[in-house]
Amino acid sequence: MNENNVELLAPAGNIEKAKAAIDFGANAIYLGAKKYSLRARASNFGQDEIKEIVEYAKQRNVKVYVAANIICHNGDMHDAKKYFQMLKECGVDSLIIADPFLIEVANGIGMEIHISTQQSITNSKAAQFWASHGATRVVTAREVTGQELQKMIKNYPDVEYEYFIHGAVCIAYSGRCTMSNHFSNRDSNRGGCAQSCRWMYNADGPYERFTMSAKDSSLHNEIWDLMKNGVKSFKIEGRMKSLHYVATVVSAYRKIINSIGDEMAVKESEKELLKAANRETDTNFYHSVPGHETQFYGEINDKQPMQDFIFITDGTYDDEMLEVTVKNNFKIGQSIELFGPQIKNSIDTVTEIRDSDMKSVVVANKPMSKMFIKIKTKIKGNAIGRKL
Amino acid sequence: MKIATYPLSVAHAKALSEKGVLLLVGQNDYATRIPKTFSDSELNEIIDLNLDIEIVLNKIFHEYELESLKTYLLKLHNSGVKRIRFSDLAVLVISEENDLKFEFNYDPETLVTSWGQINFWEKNGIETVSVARELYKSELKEIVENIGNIKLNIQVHGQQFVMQSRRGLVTNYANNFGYKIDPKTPFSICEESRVSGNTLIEDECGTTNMFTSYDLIAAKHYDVLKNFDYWTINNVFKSIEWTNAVVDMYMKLPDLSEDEYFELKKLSKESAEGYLDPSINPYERK
Repeated sequence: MNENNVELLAPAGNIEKAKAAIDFGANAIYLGAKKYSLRARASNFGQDEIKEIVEYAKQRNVKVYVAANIICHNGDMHDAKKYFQMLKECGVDSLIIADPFLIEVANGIGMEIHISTQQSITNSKAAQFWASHGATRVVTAREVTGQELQKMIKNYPDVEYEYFIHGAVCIAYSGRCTMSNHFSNRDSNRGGCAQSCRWMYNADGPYERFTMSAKDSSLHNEIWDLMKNGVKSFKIEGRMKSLHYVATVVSAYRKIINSIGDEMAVKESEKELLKAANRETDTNFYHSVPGHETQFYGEINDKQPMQDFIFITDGTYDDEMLEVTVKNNFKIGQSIELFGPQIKNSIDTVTEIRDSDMKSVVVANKPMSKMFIKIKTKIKGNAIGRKL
Repeated sequence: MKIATYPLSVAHAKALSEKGVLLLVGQNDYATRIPKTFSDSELNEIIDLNLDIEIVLNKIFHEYELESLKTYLLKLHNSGVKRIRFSDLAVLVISEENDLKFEFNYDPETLVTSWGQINFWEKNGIETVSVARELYKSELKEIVENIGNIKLNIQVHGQQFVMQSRRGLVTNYANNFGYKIDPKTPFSICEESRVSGNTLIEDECGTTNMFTSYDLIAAKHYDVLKNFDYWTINNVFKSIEWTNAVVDMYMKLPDLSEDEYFELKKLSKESAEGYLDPSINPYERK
């Protein structure tokens, strides 16, 4: 078990989130391009953005995967080869892919492929099938338990295994659900999922309303087991999630992976994960097929995104002032909590704020603007600031 | 064209076979969503009758089930079974590894949606593929025009598969509220803003399957159906009488009269043409 042998794989919904994922400890990121991505509503990447993030990632020894995981209809196929060629030329390391036609196209141009969870791979024989068709990695179905995964790896070790460790889960086997198609004419296998499994249903009989929504997954206590069992890549779900979420979750798992045997690190990371969560979490399928305690019943009120996230550091600072990108308003005297992959969480106070012209101001009230702040903590690497 | 459906007894298998129907036969340990599970002795009896059968092996198999799957495939092969309808690629790999020659029908319910994919499966030794239900007529026509010699199966009638979960969704719901509900009997739900609902059922696999509550009725679309080699009538939750009546009606195509079509519709509490005519959507909001 070695932290250098595993990969922490983070979602990248846009350039800013991609950079945050990299800066906060991801070994690899996955993103959607303008075509073939299942997250049609995410702000997917154009060619120039892909080039930009690949360059940024390569400089930091981080891999970039593109999710091309739709299941094609006839009209989706015609320019796949040209599109994948473009991705290859951009320096993308691998495609996360599910459609057999697209798999053939990717193989034809020598592109590395990882088989998406949309293929619902639940056993080593299915993994073997896709390995024989060029896959270097399979993303297992979310329904695979930890014990089953361990046996899959033992029975067929000739491919890498990627496992979901954190984030939202489907109630059905991925790829085998067309609720959204039938209810909303939105194709769940082509990025249109309307999340019908989170709606309310009337049950036939003297019963309460029926729901099927699952709690999100969080496997922070299971990471070392997964490492021991030979899982190559730990996937965090959430290309639609906020920058704060991505930075917090990546940072928390980075600390766990780098602190094998240190239970305190897990406890601290668990607290961090709670600050980013907008839904209750569970281990879902990891220990066994989940019961009712892993689902939501009745009205589901997701927490609103927290406004406590006030800045992210830009990594450039001198002895006096720290350069930050403002995310929410704060003022001089603000008590803050700092966290990042290379620092212990610390408490501090903002004693000075300057704008981009280095002019002193009392309030930082322009979200997304560059500003400079003075705090006591000397930050190594990247960090996020939250209001206390 | 050949009609395929599930016999609901050994005698029913014989009767359907006399009509020229391809018999879909499964057992709960290896198949899901089947309207009837046969015992080993019943299965052997059907196999011994040398009828035209396709063994349904459409479970999604987890690692601990692979040894049992291998044993089952060997048994089927030794019994002389020729055709298998499957969903999980483990079936294909284990058969190849053990040199078990079957004619395969790849039926993952939702995944086969393009001619490009179908041609992939042909190159991988698959004889028949089952197309997804969520395809428009224009897409089905284009598929037919762009494939090689592989055969095509399409569902023409009956309740449609919507999703499969490994969770016991009905069991969990009942446990949460303290209800006594048998999850192995059909459980009806309906999204609050819609008229038409869904049927849920759990089976021996422990999985939950969701179906449309309405029956697909494709009989008006012979212009597309005629290009498909197999027409599957899904008789899950239905009776022998219903099955026989629907089979007879589809056997009359393309000469089914308006009156007969009306009779066919009357066999269902609720019916619609699915993606073949999306202008009538039972899931429109109220």
